[in-house]
Amino acid sequence: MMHLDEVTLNEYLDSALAPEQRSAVESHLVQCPDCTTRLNGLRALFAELETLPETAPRRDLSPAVITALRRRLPESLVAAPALRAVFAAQALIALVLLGLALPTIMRATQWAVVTQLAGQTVADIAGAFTGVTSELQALQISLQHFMAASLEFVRQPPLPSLPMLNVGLCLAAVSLLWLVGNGLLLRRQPSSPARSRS
Amino acid sequence: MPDPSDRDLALRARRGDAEAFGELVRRYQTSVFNVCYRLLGERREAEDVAQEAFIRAYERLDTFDADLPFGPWMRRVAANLCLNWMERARSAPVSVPLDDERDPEEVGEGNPVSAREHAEHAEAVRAALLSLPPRYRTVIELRHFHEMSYDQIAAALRIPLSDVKSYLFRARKLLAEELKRYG
Repeated sequence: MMHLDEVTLNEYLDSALAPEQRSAVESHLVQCPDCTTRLNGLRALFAELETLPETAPRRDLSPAVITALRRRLPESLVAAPALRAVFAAQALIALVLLGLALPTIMRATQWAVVTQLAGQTVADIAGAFTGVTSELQALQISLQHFMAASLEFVRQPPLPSLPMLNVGLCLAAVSLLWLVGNGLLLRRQPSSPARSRS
Repeated sequence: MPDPSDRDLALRARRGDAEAFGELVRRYQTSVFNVCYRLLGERREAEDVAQEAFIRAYERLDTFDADLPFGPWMRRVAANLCLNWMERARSAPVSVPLDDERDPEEVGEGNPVSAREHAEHAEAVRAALLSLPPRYRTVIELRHFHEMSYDQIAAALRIPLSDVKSYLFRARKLLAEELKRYG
């Protein structure tokens, strides 16, 4: 007769066998005293572990845990509901200001790009006409005058005005600083390996 | 007014209420301490690691599903921390608790002879557990004292299911041999 292996006996006692395997093991145990003895030995070990008594710690752990948690200043700040509301309001205001400043910054960026492109175009066109015959030189000069005039117009756009641009940039910078500052202040602290004893 | 539930306390703690978490510590410190004591075998060390386990659990409260019981989750955090602790200290020899470290509650009251026998037997089981390699000790802890299934143990320790089965089988074999030696 084939005996049950140790792994199967362990899985049987751990209720880890599928129903049909379990039935097969039970059928075998009924007719095999050797396997039943081994199973009972394993059961006795389980019982020994279960009888191990629980014991109380000699000190209350809660004061030391609470002290360790409170020592984490940023998380304590987050814990105060009033301060949480202040931080949330600050973040909201910063986001609104950033939103207000954004169109001004985008327009300024756009104008800078247009100016740069226009300058490159003038240089390219002038270069292309350099080797042309004398009949075309007059036309080239006229064209250069025209492009220079156009460039002058582009370089002095009606919008945005300098003070407006400065205000926009200041708003954006302050909002970003505000958000980053609060983010740094409220970030989670890495766990400390140091343990405190009460 | 009824005591707040574990769920309420965990949710308040998650919002940063240290006092609420302190109440959870008071409720579960004995069971968490026992996890550490069975795995580490030394009272003071077990208290320190249990304390650290609560701090770790507080940091990871956002991963705790508040609809599930707090106790098993907390004990799992402690068991994992103990396993890391044991593996870090692997080179150091494991010491069996000395007689003067024995817990007076384990000696018990009533008939002094049977109480002493009972305490000695508990001591033998603890010593046998401590003789196991850390991973074997941990699967025994999770299976027998946390009543976790093979799948749950594999997930908690991030090891394959086949390892859980072989660790359990070998650990029990070693335990039985150790206990036979203690008589």
